[in-house]
Amino acid sequence: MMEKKAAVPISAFQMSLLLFAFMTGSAIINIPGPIISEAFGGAWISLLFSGAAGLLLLGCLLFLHRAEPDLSYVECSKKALGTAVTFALSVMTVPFLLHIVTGIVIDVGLFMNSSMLRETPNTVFNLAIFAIAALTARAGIEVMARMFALILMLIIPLTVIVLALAIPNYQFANLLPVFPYGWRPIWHGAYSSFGFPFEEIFVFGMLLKYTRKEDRTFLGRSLAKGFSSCILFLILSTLCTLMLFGPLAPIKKYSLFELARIIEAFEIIQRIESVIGMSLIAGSYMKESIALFVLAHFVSDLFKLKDARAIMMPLALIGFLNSLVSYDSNTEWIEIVNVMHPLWAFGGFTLPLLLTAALIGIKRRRSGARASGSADSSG
Amino acid sequence: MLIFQRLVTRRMDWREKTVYAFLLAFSVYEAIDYAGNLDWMELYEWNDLLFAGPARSIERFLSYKPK
Amino acid sequence: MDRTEAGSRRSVSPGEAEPWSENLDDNLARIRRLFEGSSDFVILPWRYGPDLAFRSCSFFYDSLVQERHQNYMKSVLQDLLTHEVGPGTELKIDELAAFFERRGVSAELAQMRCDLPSVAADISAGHVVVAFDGWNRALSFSALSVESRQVAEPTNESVVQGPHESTVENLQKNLGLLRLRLQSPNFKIVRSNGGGESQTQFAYGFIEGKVDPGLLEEFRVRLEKTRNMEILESSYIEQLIEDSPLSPFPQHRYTERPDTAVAAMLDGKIAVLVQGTGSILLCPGKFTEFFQSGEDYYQRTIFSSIIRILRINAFIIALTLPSLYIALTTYHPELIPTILLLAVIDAREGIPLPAFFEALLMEFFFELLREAGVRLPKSIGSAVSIVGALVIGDAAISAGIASPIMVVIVALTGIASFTIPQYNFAIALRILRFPLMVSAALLGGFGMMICFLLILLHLCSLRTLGQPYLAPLAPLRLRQFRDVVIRAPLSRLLRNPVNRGHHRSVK
Repeated sequence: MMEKKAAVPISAFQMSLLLFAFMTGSAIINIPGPIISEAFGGAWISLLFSGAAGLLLLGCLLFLHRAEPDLSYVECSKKALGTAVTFALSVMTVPFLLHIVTGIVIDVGLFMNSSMLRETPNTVFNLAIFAIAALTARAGIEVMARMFALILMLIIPLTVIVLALAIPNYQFANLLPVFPYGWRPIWHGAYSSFGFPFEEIFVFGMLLKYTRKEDRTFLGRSLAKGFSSCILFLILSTLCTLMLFGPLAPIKKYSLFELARIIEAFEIIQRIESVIGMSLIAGSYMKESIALFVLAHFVSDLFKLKDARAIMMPLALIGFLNSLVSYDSNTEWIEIVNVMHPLWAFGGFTLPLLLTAALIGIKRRRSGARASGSADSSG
Repeated sequence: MLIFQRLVTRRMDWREKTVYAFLLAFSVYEAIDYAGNLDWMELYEWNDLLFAGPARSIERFLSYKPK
Repeated sequence: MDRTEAGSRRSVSPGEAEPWSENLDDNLARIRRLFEGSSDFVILPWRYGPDLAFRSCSFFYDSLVQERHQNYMKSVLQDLLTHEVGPGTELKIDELAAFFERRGVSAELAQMRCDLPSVAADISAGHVVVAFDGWNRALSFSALSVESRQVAEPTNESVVQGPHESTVENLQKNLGLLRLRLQSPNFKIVRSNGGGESQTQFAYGFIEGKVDPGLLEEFRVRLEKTRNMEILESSYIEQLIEDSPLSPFPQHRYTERPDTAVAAMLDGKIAVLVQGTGSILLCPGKFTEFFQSGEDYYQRTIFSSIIRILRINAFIIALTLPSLYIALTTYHPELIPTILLLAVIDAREGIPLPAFFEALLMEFFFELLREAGVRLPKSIGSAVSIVGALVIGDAAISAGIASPIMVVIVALTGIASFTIPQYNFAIALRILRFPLMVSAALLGGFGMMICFLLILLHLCSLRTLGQPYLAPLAPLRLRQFRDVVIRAPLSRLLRNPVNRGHHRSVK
């Protein structure tokens, strides 16, 4: 079972499912609360802007993939920028990946602690999620793609049904005013939502090399479709939250959860927030296992290790301990997520990606010019 | 199942052993920090040193408090 | 007329690989040394020819061979005298040898054996072996006649409409039942022997052109590894060739019905039959196929689809109902509708145990009842079911050990697990129910979800003969959903078989 090491490639559709699972996994818990508190009625416009920026990043990744289909981002970067510069850039990237890995689980722990299982210490939740995420990441990308397709088939209809069941409580007047205080809140919301979750699409730079060869031509289309459906899904949930709670929306942190609390239909379906809680946790688990997989492969590509699975368990252990020990208080955690995260993401993810893409683009243009120049001179 | 996996995986070469050792050392560092409740320098404090200033000023610039 | 060499037997390990000698006394001594100690081994010396000058000897086990078959010598000589040599003429050993070596026609089928190990193997398989003085070959006649079951109604897989034939313990008869239903030269049957002391014959069949050549090759490679192991039943083969012996989920299906086996082979599966058992092993077996029963294809489409959906729901209920009860009553009472919640609280009042221990206790009783019911003779069986119902039902409630809701849940779980057509799959549910209950008791809905994700992870990484276990659910192939949740009308299932690959012939 473990001797079959060669990674089985996955199809483009499965890759876009992974993208969707990764993007919406923990975004559904945390967004739209903070964005509405920053951008008020125009939160969905912020999401549109940051989604567009995210699509540009996706374009960068696909460009990299088309230039070097069989290399992961790290290998590309080593080829384009050189090993020393790659190491220097990853001083920001690897800690940020570690932050993502711990952050997802800390969020789950905080969520469970505040809503469903209030008296259990966070350690239990962190341990449980890290354990299964590490086992899943170890199983390989093909198993992950298969599993997440099934889990998504369960979660997405459930969430849509919950959003639909709350229809009697929606008040469309709550959507206005859209720009109560001008454009600056919108930029604030866009900056924030770009940092989390759209900038994290960078991790797919490590995963795109596992696509099947036959599917590489329409990979771009599938990924764009997946990304757009994620943006639409987040916008939908933001709109529903705004319609339901109006100006009170930012007070409650986990808006979808509160939405589920309010639902009362057919006299039997009431207080179904635990069901939404479960689906949120499943989404976070999916994102966590992909993040752990990417972290392990990033480090192993950086140091040219043969098998990333060798370091997956120690990384999970570090993530687990980090989730217990790294933040001192809830307020500090909120500051980290709201304030530090976007800038860190920019320095750790976007900047290196843009640099690598730019250098590879320049190299291709130069070699293309040389080739066409030689062709001109010869033919 | 983990024991089963441990039995069938290959031996690690020197690179993997080094990285593994380093990662284990770091986790021991964090474990002692957690167990002893000592407030050692962890990920986010390192982070604070580097770019807390710029991040906070951007945030202050962008946020708008309704008067 | 010889049988094809595809069914050639391996030699028995005791016994020297020495050729059969021309001297009858040598052979006699060797056979005596090998088979001494068995009271059912018979050595019958004969004489024939003018003045009864020539000697020969028959060897057989009289427990395997019927009375009237013991005297093959007579029929052999009669044939010779009538066809070859002519009445009244002298019969010499050379003419006998020449007759058989040139494969003359005789009334009884004879095979020539030239060394001791094959003679010993034939005797152990129920043949009568005749040795002649002066000829270095022995003649072996098949004479096996042991009492066996008649073809009857299947005991575990009965249907309302459809054939009521089941397989028996005799390999030849079973293969005959299969071949009669699949009258195509593309249906190949390959015979082989197990190893060790039992040397059991087994065979595997497939339809060339429908089975995936890679699958067949993988199957053969795994079967090769079991060369020297004793195979007593088809489940031995299953356990020796499966990908994950430690998994609770079975990776191959069993059936006692020839029609199910034929339908599976038409789907590209390999059927394995073993002498001495009526269970046919169908490899590979995917998760969705364990919900199929033969009757699905003999009833109407809509009805079959509804019953299939019912079975899938029964699977979910059998797996999760007790743990759901524990999680809901202990951690998430708000999920239960208020009126039901009041009833539950009312019922649970006065029960000394928390929900988890109560559920565990009642499940344990039910498992005890199930195991006891399997072992009891049929005469007491009905009494036990009455006692069980009384104990687990009324008495437990009146004594205050369990609440009525718990009894309902346990009963529903048991009934739901009986709905699953394959017994070995229902066993997986019985095993997995308990970890789910424990995790629900520890962490409520969160714990149940963690356990579910672990089970799903295991299922997604499970392979059966190299193919993914959860196909077509994951990887998702919507085209192959014709037979999973609903059963598409037969015209779509048969005419356009996307599910069954048409492969090049297996060479």
